[in-house]
Amino acid sequence: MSAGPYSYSYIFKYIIIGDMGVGKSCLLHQFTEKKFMADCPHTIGVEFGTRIIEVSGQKIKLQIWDTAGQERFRAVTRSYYRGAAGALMVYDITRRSTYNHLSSWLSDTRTLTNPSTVIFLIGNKSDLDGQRDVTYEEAKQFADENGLMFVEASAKTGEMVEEAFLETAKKIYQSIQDGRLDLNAAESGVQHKPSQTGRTTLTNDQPNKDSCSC
Amino acid sequence: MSPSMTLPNTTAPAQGVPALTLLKHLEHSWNSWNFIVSATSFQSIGKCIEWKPNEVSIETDGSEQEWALVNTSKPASTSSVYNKYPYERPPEERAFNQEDKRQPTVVDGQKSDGLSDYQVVERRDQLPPRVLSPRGPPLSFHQWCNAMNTEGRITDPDAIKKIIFDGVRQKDVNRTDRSIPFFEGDDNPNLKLLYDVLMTYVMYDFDLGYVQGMSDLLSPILSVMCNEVDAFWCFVGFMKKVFRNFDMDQSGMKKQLSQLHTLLSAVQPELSTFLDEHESGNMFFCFRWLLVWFKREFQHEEIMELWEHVNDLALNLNLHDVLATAASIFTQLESSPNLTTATRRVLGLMANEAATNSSTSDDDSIISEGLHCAVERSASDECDRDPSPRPITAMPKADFSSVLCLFRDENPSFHELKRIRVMLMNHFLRHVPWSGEMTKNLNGYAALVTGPDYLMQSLRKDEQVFDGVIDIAGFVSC
Repeated sequence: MSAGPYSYSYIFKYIIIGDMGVGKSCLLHQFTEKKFMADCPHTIGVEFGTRIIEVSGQKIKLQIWDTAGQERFRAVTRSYYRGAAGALMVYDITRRSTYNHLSSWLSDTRTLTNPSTVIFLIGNKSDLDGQRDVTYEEAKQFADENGLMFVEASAKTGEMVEEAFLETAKKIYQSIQDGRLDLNAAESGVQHKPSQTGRTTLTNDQPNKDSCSC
Repeated sequence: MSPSMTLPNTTAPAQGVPALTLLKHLEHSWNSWNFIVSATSFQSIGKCIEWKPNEVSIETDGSEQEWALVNTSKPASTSSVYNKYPYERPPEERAFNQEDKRQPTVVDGQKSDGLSDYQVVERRDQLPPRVLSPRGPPLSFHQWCNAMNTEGRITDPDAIKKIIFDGVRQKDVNRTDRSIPFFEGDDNPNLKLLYDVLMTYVMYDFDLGYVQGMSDLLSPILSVMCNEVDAFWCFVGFMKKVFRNFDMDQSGMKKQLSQLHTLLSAVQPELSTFLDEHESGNMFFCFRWLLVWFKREFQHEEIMELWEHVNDLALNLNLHDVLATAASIFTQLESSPNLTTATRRVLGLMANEAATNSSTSDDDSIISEGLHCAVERSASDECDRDPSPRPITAMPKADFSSVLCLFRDENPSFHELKRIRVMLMNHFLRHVPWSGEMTKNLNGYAALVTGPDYLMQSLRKDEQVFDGVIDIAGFVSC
């Protein structure tokens, strides 16, 4: 039980935002389960997933909040922006309208998160290149102008999905190292767990029950 | 032991039902009876009927000259709302398979001294013995830890769910093979049907438009109706009930969530505080539960069942039990000294205080006046019909459940309707704390029980009569 369930040093909070149907939940599912979920039901309210990754030898738990895309639910989803260390802003490269709405998503993010929040732009469905409605170049330009990181990814094939999540984490981790991100601020979106705390001890105390009734 | 008699059971196990089923079948003698039957009358019936244990029986208590419905066996079903009332929907109208559809057998011509002909409805094949569905111990900390992988994630959530719900859902196994993969497959025409109904609805209520979650509410309806037109109109009715949840400003949802939080702070203050400390006091994690009525939290068949019970769509709800429980919860909460002002407001107890300070709101006083009038009017009708009416206050408690059962059974005559209403009102006036919220609930209660006549009157006063019932049944309504 050396690598107990809680052996990580940081928790980063992410949010995934973007229009409905751009593939936010599928990206999350691909990242956490390494599988493509066809017929993914639309998200109602907010769902979340986690995965532990490693950046510069540090284990980091990503706590990812996946929001409903429909405008109607923004009143609810907006409340989840607060305290996000990373924001993945997603559009669908085959639907121009989802790209056009990015400025609205971006202004929401800027307003509701803190200045050090890393915003990563993802053009999803890169596997559907034939139906492309938004060129890589213009999206890249938009990202550069607004100081966003950018990648085109495919939740279906898994292409660049991992990278998007990991790059965001690296950037956040850098901010911590540089001292730009104040860990003590409630809204930093990062929790530091310097040592193996009581929880791990608890787990070690458990008798080695390899099997349970499940 | 006091003389007991078993009353025949018309349908699946029901508590408190059969007595009145019998009464209903005493058709010829019925009109000559005063509803409030003396103990002696029951004893005479009791002699004619074989005594059977473990069934609902009427026990008379000679000393108190009162009778009460007594359930001699503990309900073993997973939920008390499984109990069936004598009224059964035709099988084709049922949304889910009921475990027991055997029809009652009518045995004619049994006679008893001093009473005219009657029919006894009897089940020839008895119900199978009740099996307690075993519930395993609750999920332990060890199990919880073992279910996690090294990253602290649950590897097999279904297995965890199974532990948590074990026993509760076991009987569903025999329903599973009935589950039709209604929407399965890519080219399933039902998917198009779903889409068409939603499109029609968008046109029908253009202001509301399509909101995510609507399809969740529609799909069970469509899979039951199997017909675009019917499904559409059912959906329209459903949306009328819940449209506020889909409003642009989400005010309906926010209100419900805050009410939920208020109630939670009364029932589980510790948890409520914990949530507050972890920035979850907004209860947004319950958003999905409430928006689509737990549709995503359960399997299709389970949802069909849950919704049936919530809405009493199959008329299977043991209204009495549900409402009795609800009323006692309400009383329990009401008598709690620790309720915050906000909680009292959600529960309608603030209005109660206002009433005692004789500063009732107009609506309340109108409604309560209406109720009092109804009682008095009906009471005077009673006097006209019955030369020696029993004082209403002397009504034994059991009458109440009896009335309910009878009423679910068949349309009663106008006079019976009135009599029942008197009893109902009397019961409420005496046993249920009075408040604005309760007025609404009572309207709902009475409307449900007394049928279309009263319902129409109630509807004119308060469109949300049924919400009242749902409210006190423990569901937070919009």
